[in-house]
Parts: sequence; C-alpha cells; structure tokens
Amino acid sequence: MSSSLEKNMLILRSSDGEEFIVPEVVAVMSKAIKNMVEDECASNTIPVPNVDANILAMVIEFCKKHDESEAEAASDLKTFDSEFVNRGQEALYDLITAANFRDVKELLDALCQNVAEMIKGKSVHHIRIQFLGYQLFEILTSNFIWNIWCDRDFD
Amino acid sequence: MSSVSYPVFKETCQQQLDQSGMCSPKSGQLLYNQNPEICGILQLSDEVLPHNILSRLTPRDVASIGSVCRRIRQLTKNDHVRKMVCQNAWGREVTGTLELMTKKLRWGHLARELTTLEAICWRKLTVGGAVEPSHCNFSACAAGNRLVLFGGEGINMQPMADTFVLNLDAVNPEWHQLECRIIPTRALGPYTLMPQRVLFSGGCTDVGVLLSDTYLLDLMTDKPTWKEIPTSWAPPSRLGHSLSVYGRTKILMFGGLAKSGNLRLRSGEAYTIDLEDEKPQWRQLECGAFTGIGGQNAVVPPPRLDHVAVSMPCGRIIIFGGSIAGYTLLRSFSCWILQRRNRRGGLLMFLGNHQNLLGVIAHAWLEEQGFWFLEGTPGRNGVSMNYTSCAWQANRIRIHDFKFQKDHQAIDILLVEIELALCEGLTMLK
Repeated sequence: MSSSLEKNMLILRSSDGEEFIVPEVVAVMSKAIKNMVEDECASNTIPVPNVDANILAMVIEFCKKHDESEAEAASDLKTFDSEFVNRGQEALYDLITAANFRDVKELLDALCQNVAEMIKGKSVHHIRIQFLGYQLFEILTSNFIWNIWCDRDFD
Repeated sequence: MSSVSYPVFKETCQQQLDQSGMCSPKSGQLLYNQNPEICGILQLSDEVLPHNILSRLTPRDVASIGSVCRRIRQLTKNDHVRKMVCQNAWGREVTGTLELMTKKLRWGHLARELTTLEAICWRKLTVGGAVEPSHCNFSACAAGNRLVLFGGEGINMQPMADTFVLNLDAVNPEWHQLECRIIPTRALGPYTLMPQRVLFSGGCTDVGVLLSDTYLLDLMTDKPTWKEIPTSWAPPSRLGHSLSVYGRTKILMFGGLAKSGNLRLRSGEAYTIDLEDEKPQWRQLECGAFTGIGGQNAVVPPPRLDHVAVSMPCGRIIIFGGSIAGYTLLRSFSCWILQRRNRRGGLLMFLGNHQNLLGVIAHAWLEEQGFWFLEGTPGRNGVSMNYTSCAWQANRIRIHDFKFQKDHQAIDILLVEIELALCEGLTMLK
C-alpha cells in the first residue's frame, strides 16, 4: 500500500485499526503529527491512539476544509465551523479530547467556543440538566438514591 | 442577565452526590460507562476544561457552572482562569488597573463583587475646612481621589470664581481654596473627571450669556491654575450639558441648552475632543455613530439638559434623566419627575467595542435601585440645594451628595463609596 502512495501523503491509523490516507499539509494541522513528521519519526503509518475511526474522520474533514478554504472567504469558513461543531454532546466530548490530544488548535477553539456558548447565560439548574443529563438528574434527586448516597461516609 | 441572581455554591447532599457520583473522575468513569447517555463534556480533563472552556465565559457564567458540582468548583478556583474571565467581561485595560489596585484580592472575589455590588454601603464622611462664603449652583467633580468644587453663586446671587479642592487621600481631608481664578465667572457649568485633571467647558455667566470656551485644571502641578484650551472651532455655547471621559484623554460632550441663532434649544448632539492631540479640536459625532453600533433597535437620546452622564469602563457612557422638551419644571426637580413618570427613561448610549455585560447591568441598576438616579430637590425658599453626581472609577462607584444651607453656612457631604476591594467576608464560592 505504501508503495502506491503518492508523495506528500500520510497514512493515519485510528485506535480501532482503520487507515486514512491524508495529504501531509492536512495532517500537519495537528501539531502532534507535525512534530512527528519534522522529527522524521513518521514512518509509513502514523498511529493515532485514543481516537477511533469515526472521530478521526471528522477531524480530517475539518482539517481538509480549513486547508482548502484558506483563500476562501472567512464567512464561508465560519458557517462551516458552526455547522461542524453542532453535534451531540458525546461527539463533542470525543472531538475535544481528540483535538486536545492531537493539538489541532483551530478545531479545539471552535469546539470549545461552542461549548462555552452552550453554558453562557444559563442557571445552575439548567447547566445540570443540560450537561449531566435530565434523566440522570431526576434519578439522582429521587429519594431512593439520595438515601443510599447520603448514608455513605464522605470525606 | 441581571435578573438572574449571582449563583452561590451551596453544600447539599446533592453536591455530595455529584462529588462521589458523577464528577469525580474516578468513580465518574464507572457511572459514565453504565449510563452512556450522560454527557461527558463536564468530564473533560482538568487541563481542557478550565483553559479552553471556562476561560471563554463571563464571571456570572463561571459562578453558575462552578455551582454545578464540586469538581468544577475546584476548577473554577484557578486564579488564572478567573483573570481571563474578568478580561472577557471588562477588557484588558480595566482588568490591569484592577490588578494593580487590589493586589491582595482573588479574582473570584472581585468578579463577584463587581457583578453583584453586594458590598456597597453608605458612609458618612466628616471633613475639615469650609467652603466660604457659601455657594450654590456650583460645579463639582471628582478627579482621582479629589473633589473639586468651583464657580456658582454666593450670597445674593453673587457670581463666584473660586476653586476648592478636597483631597480624600489625606488622613484628615480638608477643603482647600486654590489660589487660582476661573475666568470669566460662571454658574452651573459642567465638569468632567480625569485622573488629576479637571476639564470645564461652556456654562453661563452672571448676566446670562452662554459660553463655549474650554478650560483645563491640572491638579498635579505645584500651583494648579485654570488654562484655556484654544480651539479654532467649538460647539455652540451651552449650559446644562454633560462632559464624560472615555479612553483616558477623550472627552464626550452631550446635550445641554444650546444657543441656536437667537433661540436657546435643548440639544441632543454629541461632540468629542482628544486632549492628547497636539492641537485639541472639538468634533461633532455623527448620529450614525450611535445608531450604527446598536443595530436596528438603537435609540438616540432625545435632546435634553441637566442630565447625568456616567463613564463606565471600556469606553461606555450612560446618559440618564435630565429635562427634555415638554417639561417646564424647576431644573433641579426635573429628574425626579422624569424618574416618576417614566422609570425606564434611562437611555443608554454606548461607545467603544465592548458593549456587553456592564452596560446592561448598569441599566438594570438604574431601573431597579433608586440610588443611581439623580435626584435634586429645591429648598424651601430656594436657598438650599442638593447636588448629586456619580462617577465610576476602576473599582468603586461614588455618589456625591452636597447639601448646602445658606443660613447655616455648612456643607454636608454624603459620600457613598462602593469600595469593592475592601470588603471582607463576602467571598465567592468559599
């Protein structure tokens, strides 16, 4: 596979073993990968541990768009960003972790800004419901669990 | 925003639940796995959460999220994060000033007090010296930590030209008369405050002539004197207008009763001058500058005189009250009437780029708490007068209330100092 690989292409392997062929310029938007490439540690395949195929595909999509649209209007990119980060909380969590771990600054900024907007102007109660999950919140405030936890010895 | 009370962390069983249940990373992981629908965002690492997410919020939001569970409360205690949050809300410059002025305080503490103003209290101040002979209709302002009082009328409506200074930094504050005269004498001219400098423009002479000249008093010099600032063009002569400082050396003049041909009309125009320029010049601000910032719903204050203008951090100026066309009441009474008739009459005028939090909150204070209102009452037989003004400095709000009684030759000063930095015992999230 590596022999048929074009020049300036890198293979990224996700934690669950799937491989992605990515142009080097896109891959090095991750500072972690950039360092590996610069240090010439990058062999044919770069393992990306802790990031599964699903999330890695999203990260690559984001980086590709940002790489292509450098010359494009900033407003287009903004629209793309706001649509890109508009995801479920679980995906957001995974993406933020991946972006932080692989050090992709633009992605991390866009995601965290989105989370911050979700928090802004909300009361404590709303934040709990939104981020801790409504169902769980209800269960936890019910007497049954309440008593179980309160009977325990805390610090 | 301001209708939400400032969140306070409360120790409850719920918190203990949060602590041992979801938010401590160790056992939280277990629960997270068992309940895949629980969101993981609040379980982000101790590095990502404060530096990437919390630092993008406002002080009130941080207080809210810090009350959600114990782990996040610990994360919000990070002073660096708190400082970033304060910078988001008030800008870099104001935050820098605050840091210098309140070295020993934590940012969480400061953010709370600046947001809620919970530590405010009245303090009566007794000072030495006297302003003699007694004045009324004088001008007064705060310059740094000093009060400057000048002009006005003495006994038998005699126009006065003297200047008095009260230095509140002194151990025993006393009124001192400055050995300088302001020329020509005038009554009820407006003023403005700058660190150690006083600017004075326009006003009315003893024979009722309106003026358009501009004077500067620099208190930093050994012998402070009023100096005229020569300008090739000046706004039409006026009285009852307001002057406010923004961006250190820029002055905004708004409203007043201006001369227009042979008539005197209330003015809604705004002018600026930058004292840092080599040759300072008055320039008129286009109305579009006001409407453009606020978008479609922007309001332009209707022409008015004798209103209050308060300078806020980040170049915001609040215009409140005053006498507008159609109300022909006693000048000193007009604000009170306006307030009664139209409690929402405070009009906000924003300058500068940061038009978020503080301006809105100040507006709410204006509406909900009376002490921000200018409230003057005419004396029984016209010999006493209350004069109230307020000024916002980096970490304190002041409201000066001069009570003047001609018969008793006494000046009573009530000074509210909202010293946000000096109040202990009201710590946030402790």
